[in-house]
Amino acid sequence: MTIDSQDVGLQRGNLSDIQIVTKEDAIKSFVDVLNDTANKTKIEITALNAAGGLIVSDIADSFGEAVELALNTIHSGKAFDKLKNFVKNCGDMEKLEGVEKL
Amino acid sequence: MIRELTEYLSTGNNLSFDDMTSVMNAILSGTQNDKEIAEFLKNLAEKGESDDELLAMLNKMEEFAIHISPKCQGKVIDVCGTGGDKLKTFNISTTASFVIAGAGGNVAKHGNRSISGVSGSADIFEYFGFDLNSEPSKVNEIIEKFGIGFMFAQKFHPAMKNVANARKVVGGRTAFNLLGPLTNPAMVKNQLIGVFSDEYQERIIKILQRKNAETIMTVRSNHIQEQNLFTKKQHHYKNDYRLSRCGLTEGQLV
Repeated sequence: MTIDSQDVGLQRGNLSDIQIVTKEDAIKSFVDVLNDTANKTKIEITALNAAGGLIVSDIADSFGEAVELALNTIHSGKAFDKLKNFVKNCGDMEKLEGVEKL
Repeated sequence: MIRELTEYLSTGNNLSFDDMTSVMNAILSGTQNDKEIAEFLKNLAEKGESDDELLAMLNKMEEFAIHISPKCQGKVIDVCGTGGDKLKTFNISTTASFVIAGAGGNVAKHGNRSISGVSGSADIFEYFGFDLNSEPSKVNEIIEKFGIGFMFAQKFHPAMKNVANARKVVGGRTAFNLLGPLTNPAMVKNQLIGVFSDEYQERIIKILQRKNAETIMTVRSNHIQEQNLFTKKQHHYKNDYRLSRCGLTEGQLV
């Protein structure tokens, strides 16, 4: 089965939009997707992959529904809240705040 | 024993399940030398691993691993990949894991540092101050409490230190690249696995079916192939890698 991003309400993007070179790029991309400030391609490819996980989790039944839920989770701030809460309890908040300022 | 089996592999023969079980036991116990393990892994990769060989290796890796059993509401899943696409993208599976957890899912993420140290899942968790050497009981508690936690492969698969040097000697891909995502220490029955080839999309599902998996989705990004497709169909895409079909070819739901 092949999923076309356009069939599930997403746009096609360029590979270069999601490529990184340095560790700083990698960390910033991770945070920017979760706090909804990354470019559209990064957010959408994350949502598409998260959709697969939501189906496997039995939280969503179809890719269309799962992509919508994944995008809402990012846009509503729930994904970033999850990261913040995790870092606050199991990591170093200064690191996260530092990346947000970049 | 390992020398004889290495020789046997070099002539294109598959090892029996029992022979692979015995040799893996010897390797993971630390009784074999690096050079012999490297030769063995190299010959195995050159021949191409059979499903029985991979399953025997997988069983032994699990036997030597440290396990946890987080109790969560709903299913506990893992989201990871075999790597090997060489596309240098940001870490999509780790990012997606937090989205899944944010949407109410539970992710027991298993992973390692990337060779370059740039964007492996362990590199990211470590960057934000997560202790990669956290005790398994602590990681178990974290997954139960936050719906997401990280199991550092080196911590949960201590016997793999016995193959680390041999893998460096081989340099290229070995069976362990494929087996890493299949040996989740939380023994998850539900997984989303990114793979780099059509062949492995099918094979991973077959292998995990034999391990009593519930739902496995193998996905593969398709843009390299798509470029060729577009070249044929739409010339203006010729020099443009598109994430059409974006990135996802779904395997099958078990």
